[in-house]
Amino acid sequence: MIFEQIILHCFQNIKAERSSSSIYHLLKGKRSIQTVQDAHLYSLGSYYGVYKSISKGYYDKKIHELVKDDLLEMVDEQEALYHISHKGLEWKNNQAFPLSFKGLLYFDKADIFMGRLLLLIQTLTNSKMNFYSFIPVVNNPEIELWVKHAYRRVKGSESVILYKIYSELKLCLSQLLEKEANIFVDRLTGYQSYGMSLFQLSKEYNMTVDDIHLILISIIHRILGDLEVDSTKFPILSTMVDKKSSLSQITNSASETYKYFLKGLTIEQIANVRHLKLNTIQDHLVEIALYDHQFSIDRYVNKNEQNEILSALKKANSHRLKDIKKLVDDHINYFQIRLVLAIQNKHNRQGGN
Amino acid sequence: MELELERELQKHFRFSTFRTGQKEIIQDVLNGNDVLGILPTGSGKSICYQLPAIMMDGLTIVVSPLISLMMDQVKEMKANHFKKVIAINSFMNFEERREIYRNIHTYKLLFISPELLSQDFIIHLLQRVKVSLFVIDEAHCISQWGYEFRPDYLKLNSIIEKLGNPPTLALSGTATPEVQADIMTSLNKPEMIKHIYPMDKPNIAFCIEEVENDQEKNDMIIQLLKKYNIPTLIYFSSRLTAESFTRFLSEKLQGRRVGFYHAGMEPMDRVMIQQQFMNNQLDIVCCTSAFGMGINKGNIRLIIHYHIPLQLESFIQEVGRAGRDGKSSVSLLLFSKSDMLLPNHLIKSELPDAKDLSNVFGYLRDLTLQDMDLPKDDVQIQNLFNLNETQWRFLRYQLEKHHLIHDNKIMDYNKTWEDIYQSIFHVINSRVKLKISKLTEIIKWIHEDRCLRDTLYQGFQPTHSGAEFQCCSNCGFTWSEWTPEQQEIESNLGLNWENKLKKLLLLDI
Ligand SMILES: Nc1ncnc2c1ncn2[C@@H]1O[C@H](COP(=O)(O)OP(=O)(O)OP(=O)(O)O)[C@@H](O)[C@H]1O
Ligand SMILES: [Mg+2]
Ligand SMILES: [Zn+2]
Repeated sequence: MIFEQIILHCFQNIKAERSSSSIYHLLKGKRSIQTVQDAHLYSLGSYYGVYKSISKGYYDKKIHELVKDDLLEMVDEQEALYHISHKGLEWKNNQAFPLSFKGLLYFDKADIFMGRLLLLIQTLTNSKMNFYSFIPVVNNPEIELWVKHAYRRVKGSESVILYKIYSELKLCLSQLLEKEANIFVDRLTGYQSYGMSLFQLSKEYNMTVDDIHLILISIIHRILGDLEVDSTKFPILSTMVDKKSSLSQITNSASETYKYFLKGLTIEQIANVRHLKLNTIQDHLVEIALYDHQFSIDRYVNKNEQNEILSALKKANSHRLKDIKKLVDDHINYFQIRLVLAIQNKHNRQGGN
Repeated sequence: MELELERELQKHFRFSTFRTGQKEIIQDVLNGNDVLGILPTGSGKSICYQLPAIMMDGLTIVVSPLISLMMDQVKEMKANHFKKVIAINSFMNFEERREIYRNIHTYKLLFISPELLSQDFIIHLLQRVKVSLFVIDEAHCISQWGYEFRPDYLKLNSIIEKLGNPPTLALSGTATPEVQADIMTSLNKPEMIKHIYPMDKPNIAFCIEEVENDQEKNDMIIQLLKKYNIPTLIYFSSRLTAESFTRFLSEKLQGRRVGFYHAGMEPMDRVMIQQQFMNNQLDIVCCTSAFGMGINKGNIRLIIHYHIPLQLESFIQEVGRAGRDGKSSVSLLLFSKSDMLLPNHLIKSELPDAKDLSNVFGYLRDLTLQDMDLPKDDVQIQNLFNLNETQWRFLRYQLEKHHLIHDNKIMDYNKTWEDIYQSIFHVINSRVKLKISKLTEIIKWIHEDRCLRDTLYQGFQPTHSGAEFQCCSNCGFTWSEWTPEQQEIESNLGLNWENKLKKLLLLDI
């Protein structure tokens, strides 16, 4: 029921100001400016990226169920706005919520840390038994490379390192509930003993697969928290934490431009501050217009110009820029046409399936 | 020469004799001929290129459809102290690629997927070395009559040419004469020497049971599995049913370890389930056709088909997982009247339909008119077009073939688009027809009153070697006479997490 609680909590916070898919993007950890901003705006940063593997179909089904159970109420079907219901609020408040998350902080680090830990344990235990042809449980070249280097450094002293891993993990796991510690340990893979899949864990502990996943993520977030508080207590586990800052990966070039846009800078000014060409900044804005529902193009094309471009579009019966340009007043430029086409395109996409 | 080969086999693999067909194929390969080898599943096709690769100068390239298959083989060979082997996959990063670039001369055996092999930088790399043998494993994938549609398999002929026409060896475990001809045509090698060996499995008994509904299937399976505690695979046509049946089984069969496997799972879970099964940590796996190729577990005793497979080839391939150790094993196929509708629906979902196609064309047109490209990421494109992975893979190949797209660039809109549309539409129709005729074939077999073994293999080979144990349900198979060895279970039950962790980390408790 943890998953349901989290969803309801999200809907409670966004107060029907955002569509249901914004919560999907949040849980999935979508790297868009909008999603990260929402996370801050609605105090939902802890849940950012806690369920990266979730599919839209599955999420929508879940929402549908919550509505059917009267825990969520539909506010606007067209816009996919929902609000937590009275019953939902009551149910949620009566439920204990023992987990903590730090999504915005750890959404990337969590996967890398767990991958390294799993593969290092598998490698060390197999190597200790002189068994070198095991099939790795982690199939990610970067993690494999990291483990390869780490393994080279400790080769020959497997037992010592395994013992250290044991003591450090024990320190972390002792702070968890008995059940949580068991779930975590059952997930690990060693020599000729493969860990349990999410489904198997869900059967073993009589919980949904969603909740098992979330518990594991929460445990990893808590371990990462422990390591941050006092890394000297965890010399081995600390090496498994990726040193890169997660935030730098969210802000791609376009979102950087968006920040300046929000501050009210002109295109020329943005180009200047960022040492980029005018064209590039314009591309960013078109990209933002294409994917961002909140973005208004009015600052660059006024309503009259928009209408003129739209009717030219109809007349030309083509999306080709040149054809449209020919049919509008000379002062309208290609950038303005692209902006209008971008939002036009967005409407088409939303209308048609 | 004769004895020399045996000595090499002994030296490198510690086997004293060749199995049927191996020596003949290897001799022809070493003499520089193009060879088509059809040997039953589990009979040792890998040796047919591993041994030549070791004995010849230069590099042997093996095209293989699955990464897991390649990894298994590389691991196995390395464990056998043969280190000059490598598998290239698309997950490799720049650094790993550079490493291979630098050392390409030192390898003797290289595994690669057809998709990667179609990329220019790989071809350039391989053109720098002497390729002494080009192998296509699971060669039925080439054939448009074959299994899954993998467009890049159809480009192999031009790749072989670019590599200077090395001797070519195509291997498969299930190929009708039709498919064999198709392989040779597609590779543009009509002169290949054929080594076709019977692919029948004398140690497997075939049972088909018609039931009224799913409830009866469930009851029957529970009864069987209560009686037999043996490594078992149950095949389903849908991921969801495989999952829900797993839940059902673990409720009904206390103490039995059940898992499921399908292509929609996280990669880590997939490896875990497969390896648990290999390690005898799991007894029963409920799966889709994604579980199969490359599972080299000796003691699988029972293969149940809960749904009708889409073609006899898939059925033979899946059943071929059983009894690799040569001991008596059983295939059980269950069906009810209402099942007959399901496969038709499945076939359609593998290909885009007319509406999908015109949607995609409309969208592509919009994009070109705005001078925009396709997204770089295939998953993003699939979502955009609302297609599943198979459908998009098919369509991408078709669009590329007609030069309507190239990577993520779209050709300018012009009059030929309409012709291309028509031509793709035509391909879709004929593939649907083909698949339906394959389905008709297997449905006909299911309703046979004659010996199931005779009729199963008759499209593939003129004769078969007969049954070693019981034959089939039409020849009087009885369960009571089937008494395979039962397995015992050791368990972790009752340990607390600290002790479990200690045990896992190999520290004494
Ligand atoms: N000459 C031999 N003597 C003994 N064992 C052999 C011999 N050749 C191969 N084997 C063993 O037979 C097993 C199956 O071999 P292999 O995986 O090559 O089969 P395959 O024909 O490729 O099967 P599949 O169709 O499933 O891919 C392996 O464990 C291999 O070591
Ligand atoms: Mg093989
Ligand atoms: Zn028979």
